[in-house]
Amino acid sequence: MIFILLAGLIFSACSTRYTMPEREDAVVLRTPPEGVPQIGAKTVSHPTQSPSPSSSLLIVARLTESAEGHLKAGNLDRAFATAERAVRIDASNPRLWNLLARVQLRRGNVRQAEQLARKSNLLAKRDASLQAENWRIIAKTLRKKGAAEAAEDAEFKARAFDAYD
Amino acid sequence: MKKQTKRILTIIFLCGVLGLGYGLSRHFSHFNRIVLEKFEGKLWELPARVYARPLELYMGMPLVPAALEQELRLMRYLRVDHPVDMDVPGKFLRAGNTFTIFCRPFKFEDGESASEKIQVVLQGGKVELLKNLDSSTFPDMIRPDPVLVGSFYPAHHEDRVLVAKKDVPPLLVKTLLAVEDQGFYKHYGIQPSAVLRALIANIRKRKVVQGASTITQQLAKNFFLSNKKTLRRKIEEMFMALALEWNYEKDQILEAYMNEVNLGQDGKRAIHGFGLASSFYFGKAAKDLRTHEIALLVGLLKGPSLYDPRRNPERAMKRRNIVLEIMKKENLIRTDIAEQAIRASLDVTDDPPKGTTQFPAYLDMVRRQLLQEYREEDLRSAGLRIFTSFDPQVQSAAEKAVSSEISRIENARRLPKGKLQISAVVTSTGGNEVLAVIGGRSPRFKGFNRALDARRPIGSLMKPVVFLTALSHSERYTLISQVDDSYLSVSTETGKKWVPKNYDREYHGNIPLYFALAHSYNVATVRMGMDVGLSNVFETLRNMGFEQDVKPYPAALLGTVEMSSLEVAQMYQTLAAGGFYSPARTIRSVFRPDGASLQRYPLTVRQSLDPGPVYLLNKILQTVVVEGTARSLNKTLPEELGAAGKTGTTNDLKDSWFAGFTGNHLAVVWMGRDDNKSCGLTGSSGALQVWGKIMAGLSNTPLELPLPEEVEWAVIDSETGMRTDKACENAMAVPFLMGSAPTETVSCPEGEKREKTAEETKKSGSAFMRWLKEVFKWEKNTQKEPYQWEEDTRQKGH
Repeated sequence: MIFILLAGLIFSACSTRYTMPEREDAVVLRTPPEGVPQIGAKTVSHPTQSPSPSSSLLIVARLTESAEGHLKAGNLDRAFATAERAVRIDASNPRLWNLLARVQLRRGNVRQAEQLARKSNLLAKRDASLQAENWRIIAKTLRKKGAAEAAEDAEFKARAFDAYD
Repeated sequence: MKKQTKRILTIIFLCGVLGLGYGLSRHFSHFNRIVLEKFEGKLWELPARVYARPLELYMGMPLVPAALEQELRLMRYLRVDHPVDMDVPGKFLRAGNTFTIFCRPFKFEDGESASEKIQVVLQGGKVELLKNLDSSTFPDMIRPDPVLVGSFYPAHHEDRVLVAKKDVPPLLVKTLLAVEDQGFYKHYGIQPSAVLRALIANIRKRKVVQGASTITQQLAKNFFLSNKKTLRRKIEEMFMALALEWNYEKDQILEAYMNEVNLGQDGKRAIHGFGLASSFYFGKAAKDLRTHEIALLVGLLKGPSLYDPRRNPERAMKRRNIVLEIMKKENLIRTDIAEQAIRASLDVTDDPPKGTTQFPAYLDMVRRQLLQEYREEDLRSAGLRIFTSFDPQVQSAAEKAVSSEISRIENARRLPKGKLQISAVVTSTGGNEVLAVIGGRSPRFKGFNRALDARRPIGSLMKPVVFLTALSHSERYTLISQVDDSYLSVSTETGKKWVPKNYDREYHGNIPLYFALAHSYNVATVRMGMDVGLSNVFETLRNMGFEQDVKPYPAALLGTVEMSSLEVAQMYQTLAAGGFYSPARTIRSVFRPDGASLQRYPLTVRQSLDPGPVYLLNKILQTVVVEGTARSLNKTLPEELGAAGKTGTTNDLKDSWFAGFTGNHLAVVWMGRDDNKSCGLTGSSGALQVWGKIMAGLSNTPLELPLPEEVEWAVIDSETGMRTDKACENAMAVPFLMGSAPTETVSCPEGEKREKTAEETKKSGSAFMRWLKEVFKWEKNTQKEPYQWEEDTRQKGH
């Protein structure tokens, strides 16, 4: 349902005036329909767990915690190295890519901060608040690069995702 | 007169003394300068050490007992059979699935691992329990010291691991002094009485037979002088020794001596110092040496080759026991302990750590990356600590796959023995870290590194580049667009006609786009490539990470472009990462010997391809495995893995390729012959088989492609290509770039029935329908060239 809602949101972001959908029965779908053969390997439409083994979540959480601590303390090299350790265990975790983006932003490496935030967004389809945060990072980096218009777009997207958090 | 003569003689004598004093002091200051220069600078050229990725042990981590045991052995941990033998770090005990490991301390870039005893229990291919036996706690993760991949040695091949005096057992120091130089803490570098004794002995025999070197003199000789036994050298040695003592503390001299001395030989590599000798002979740190081991090492000083405990165990035993007698006589050890030590066996490890690497192809790649930024002499002498992403378990899986599959394929296909060559690269899809490299069919053999240096035509591995370029033009190409695989003639730049053929020598008419790639049809690919434009295809290739400059020409669409396995891996990595390019990395960080960080190579990403088309392409690459040219993988890999990849074969079966990825690993395999003759294998019959074996040996996560924002799904009737109801017989789910899905619909009785029910429900939700209609009205307006399936179908039969 959230995807339909988000799709609606994106349409509305394109300055349309559509009323919000109330039921999920669109002909065009955000996720592959159940019970129909697919091109390629089967996509899990509503995965309840991370693609990586759930048992690795604890260790990823610990490493994230530690990296956040280093980031807070301004120990940026260590923060990045620790976050990278976590990425090696679970590269499909969008929060880790966001963490890498934040370390790079703090370091002033706007180019990497932007790219890492975009990578996080690709993986963060089920997490509106994280997408909002990534768009805010992207907006900041774009502003620093002097791309004011693109930055505004990014900020708009951030607000739109905020609304659906 | 007498008085005058006496005065003159006194003056002459004084002048003589002064002159001699002056001469001696000049001489001394000369040697003093040499000594100072040496000691103030770098005392030794230290080899660079290249380490594998550390094994991060955590709860739930996928790990099988055999892999853990193998890695522990590569980490140079000794397996012992009784708990009582777990006395020092560097040992492990295994009882079935339960491992007790006495970890060595190690300094990582983001923290230190302590020396502690841990217990690891594996169950069902996973880490079930981690326990710190010292503190009886259950840590979340444990990171033992990493495997040493290899070293870059100084030109003279001296190898050493520096130790400080405080890091060796006091008994070693005492024994060393008792045997080599009892008066060390009393003399000034030389012992005149001993010199005199030696001098007399030498004069009697009319040649130099006896030395009387103090430890200081021995150090001076090793540092500054040749091995010749001449009087001149002896005198120089004495001056040097005096200069050493003049400038430095006794302990500094002793420490330098302990690190300098030669204690053995391993092929070309010379084993120097007690630090390295401890691990070379006993597999442990110097501080953990036991009495009889200390005696053996000190005894070796007399002649490391003569008393080599591995080659001459009897002589070594005799010499060791002489040292033990001295230790007893000098009251360094109690009599009963001496007796016990004398009865002890030599206890040297059977299988000494080799100085030559077991992983030459990977080390070669590390060296090349380093040489871009460091001078060769610094690599060989500055004692750098280099941390890489090398994964011994992945490498081992790759090596096993190579050795088993090469001979199986040679036998099964009756290929000439020993001619088939191979290269492979395995990377992590997340950050493009290179985990393993295979440079040839004998992975231990250091030679031609095919993974990096054998550039071969990539054949059909090029096709995804063409299809990706096409899919980026969503107004013209979707996954189900009909593409034309009928006779085609292309004019080349030279004015010649080129008629591409399919591998099966047949034309397939109009077929859905995804089908053409899944079955690797050449003619459809060339037609499409020419349609989207050669330069666009080559731009896609560059965006995927291919850096060589190649001129676009039609035959390149079928893979005449030559690449190494590594270059192919780089290219497919960008697909595996959803359109984000990361450069392939082997090195994570470089440290100086003092622990200061010299350089880091952090993970970087750059979105170089639109994620939408990449997603669609990856769906086809999965189809290749499900029902296309790589479907034989279903014998080796589970379907749920959702692996994606592409086979590649070149003309006359000269090259056999497969490139593909799962959720966490990407691998590229090339097979062929060095003489570029036909190897008789297609991508499927050769490289794919090895690829499957490699992947089956790894712990893979399923490939779940993240859905980009601009992709949506529609239910399509596979016969007509129109939209249909999911209840219909030929319904299949197809992803499209937003707005590119077909708009015409076709229904079926099942669908109509379902629709009717839905209609009734919809009455209560009219707001939604209004919205939907408006959405599609908008969508239609944005579609520049509406999809024309029917027209295409009519063209069938060309």
